[in-house]
Amino acid sequence: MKVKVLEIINDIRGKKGLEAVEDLVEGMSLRDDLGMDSFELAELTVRIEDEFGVDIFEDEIIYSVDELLNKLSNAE
Amino acid sequence: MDKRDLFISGKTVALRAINRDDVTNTNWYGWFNDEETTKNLQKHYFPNTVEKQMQFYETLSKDNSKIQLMIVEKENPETILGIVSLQKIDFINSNADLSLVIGEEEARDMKRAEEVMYLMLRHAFNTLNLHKVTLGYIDTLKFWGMFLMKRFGFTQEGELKEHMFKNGVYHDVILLGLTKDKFKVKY
Repeated sequence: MKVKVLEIINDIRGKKGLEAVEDLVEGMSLRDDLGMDSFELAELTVRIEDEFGVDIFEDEIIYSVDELLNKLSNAE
Repeated sequence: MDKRDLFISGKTVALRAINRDDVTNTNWYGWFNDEETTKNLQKHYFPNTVEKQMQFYETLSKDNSKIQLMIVEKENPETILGIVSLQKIDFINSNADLSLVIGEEEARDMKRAEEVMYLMLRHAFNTLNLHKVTLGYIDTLKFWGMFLMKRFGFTQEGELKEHMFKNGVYHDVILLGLTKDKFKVKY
């Protein structure tokens, strides 16, 4: 699951000319560390829902990679 | 903020009436001179000025086919975030066009944009009794459109080919529509 999330994040980063990150590290901020703006977070939401069937932003704002991965783990 | 200007209150944001002082005392007119803010908008072709913004305000205040509101933080209403509009309001065909600009970079938060759109859609359907709301976006925001479809029930109704010239390229503009019966009430 983490590998697929990393792939999606790197694909989004690649479209705006950012280098791929090698790993998703605990504490990483989606916005500050991974450089995602609101439109890219919308893309992340749509692509993760398509892949895992989970709407990560449905109930609350997610700021970090940990929160994202926890949400996906809890939904399994 | 003068509490008398408060128009719609949400969970984290509020929408208030725009007043004359906003032209000079906020970043409103400057948002349309900022390349980053306008990169997905049909703006930033000619420079904006205080004078032009004042003319716009004067027209807006007399225009019954447009509702434009200032987005502010609910807990800190002096903090201006952007503007949201229902325009081309047509009370015969009962429809309008929705647009949103989050002018302040640090406020560009997907969840907040979603809440603002929800508040304005609720106003359109439940207060103005409109039947349908439309919006358009540049093709580079494909996933933003998909997000709006999933969140609110918008469907794609059209595509204007090579309609918007931006950054040296003609872009398609995607048109979405949402009728009152399809509006997903999630809050």
